[in-house]
Amino acid sequence: MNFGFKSPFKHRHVAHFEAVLGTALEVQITADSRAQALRAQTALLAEIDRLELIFSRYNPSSELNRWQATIHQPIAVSKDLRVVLKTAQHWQTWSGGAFHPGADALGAVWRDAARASIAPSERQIAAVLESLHQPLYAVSNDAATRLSTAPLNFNAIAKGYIVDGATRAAQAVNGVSSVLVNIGGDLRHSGAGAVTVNIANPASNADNLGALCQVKIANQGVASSGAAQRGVQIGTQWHSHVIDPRTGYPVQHVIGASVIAPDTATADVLATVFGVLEPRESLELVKELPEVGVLIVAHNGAVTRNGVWQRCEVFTKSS
Amino acid sequence: MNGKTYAISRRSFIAKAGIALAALSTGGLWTSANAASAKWDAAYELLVTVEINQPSSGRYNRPYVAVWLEDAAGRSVRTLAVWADSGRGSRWIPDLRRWYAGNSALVSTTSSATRNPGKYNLVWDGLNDKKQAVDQGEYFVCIEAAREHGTYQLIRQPVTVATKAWTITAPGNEEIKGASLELRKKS
Repeated sequence: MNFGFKSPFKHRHVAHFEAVLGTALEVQITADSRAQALRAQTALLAEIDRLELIFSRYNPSSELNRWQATIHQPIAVSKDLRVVLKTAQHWQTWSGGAFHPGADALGAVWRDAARASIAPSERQIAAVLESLHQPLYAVSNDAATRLSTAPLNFNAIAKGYIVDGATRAAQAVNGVSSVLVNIGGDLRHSGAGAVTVNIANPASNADNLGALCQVKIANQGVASSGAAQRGVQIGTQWHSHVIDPRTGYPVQHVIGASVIAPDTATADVLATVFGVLEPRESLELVKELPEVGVLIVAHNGAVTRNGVWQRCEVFTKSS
Repeated sequence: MNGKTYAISRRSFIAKAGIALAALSTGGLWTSANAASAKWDAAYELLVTVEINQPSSGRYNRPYVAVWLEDAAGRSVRTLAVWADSGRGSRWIPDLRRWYAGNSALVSTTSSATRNPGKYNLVWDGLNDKKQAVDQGEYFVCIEAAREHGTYQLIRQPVTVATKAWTITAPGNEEIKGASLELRKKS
């Protein structure tokens, strides 16, 4: 079936994998031939494997975990790890700590509380916050030195960074026209044309219901944060699994946020930040980033978008 | 079932199942619903949770999965989801016509918060494919999974839809670890 427009490519490849970075991977590649599309997919998967070996928190021999076993020692690290460490510092400062790579320690406090069915004490939380306010690490051109024993998790940037790397690896293959990589909802488009992205409603846990809205992106990244699928129950109270690293308490005023940015690493960390800040704060802060679009779903279901997001939004008859 | 690749046509399967069911029902084994059947109560929804089997380690291709509802006579009433990758020949679904519409060469994708691998939550709101409310009564929840060089498996679970909440666990098979069905009031 062809509605008369000339397609700029000969072959379209779509594939889905499970158990990639602990979630699902969707690959779309348009290329001149099936062989080239498959070669691009192979390059993409190899790059995911390579970067996972650097950033994984599960694999004890990942570069990140091996680095975390050291303290007060300058360690020569790979360019990828160095870039993510520096980027994390930048966003931690920019967001006033709403993004914090040490936030896992707070999540652990609340998970333990859920097991004991007692909310954590102010003292417990204050103790963790104290450790999070210390300098975490220092990054130079050659090395990274860990300065604190707080366990660090960079997944909020690394996942997006891996999506970007995988997309680049596929796009670089000869004959490839465009690429879409989507890992667990963090996605990146590159190359020719554009792609329509359905934004899932963060308040819903059904995979087949209509999207909250749709945006069209080209050579950009999209990421979403949300609390609907996970959380902790303490007694009769359900708490979001998203803890505000600035206060140590579960976020209450935002259910989730979606972000459009020039790359997925940025979209990823900002989706985390805007899933923590008050919607008003987020809209104010995003003005400093003219290429970033944001959509926020507040706890009462109210949806707010900035101008950049509105310009990306598309409205189709069928949903 | 051996490892042969199946050129499966869902329509032909439904046709065969429909004939088999019709043969069963003529014997009066089916108690027909009240002549004027009540419509689906809009306060209720049917949640279908499908979990696919994961090999012990490493990534794996998602199998082709289709989830749909059939009425007591075996006619397809509503498709909840069909996940197909390219290269599956005739398994295109109506949704994929969007490939040709608009300016995009890529199929639309979805951004959401990270989800757990291999587990899908689908909700039936009681509407058929034409967005009309169906009658209360007997239905089949169908979950079909097939792997390109693997097996073909089907779960076909009879359910009764009225105004009483229930939960059913359908046993799994080689491709599908299990499916849990729940009729519940919408929250």
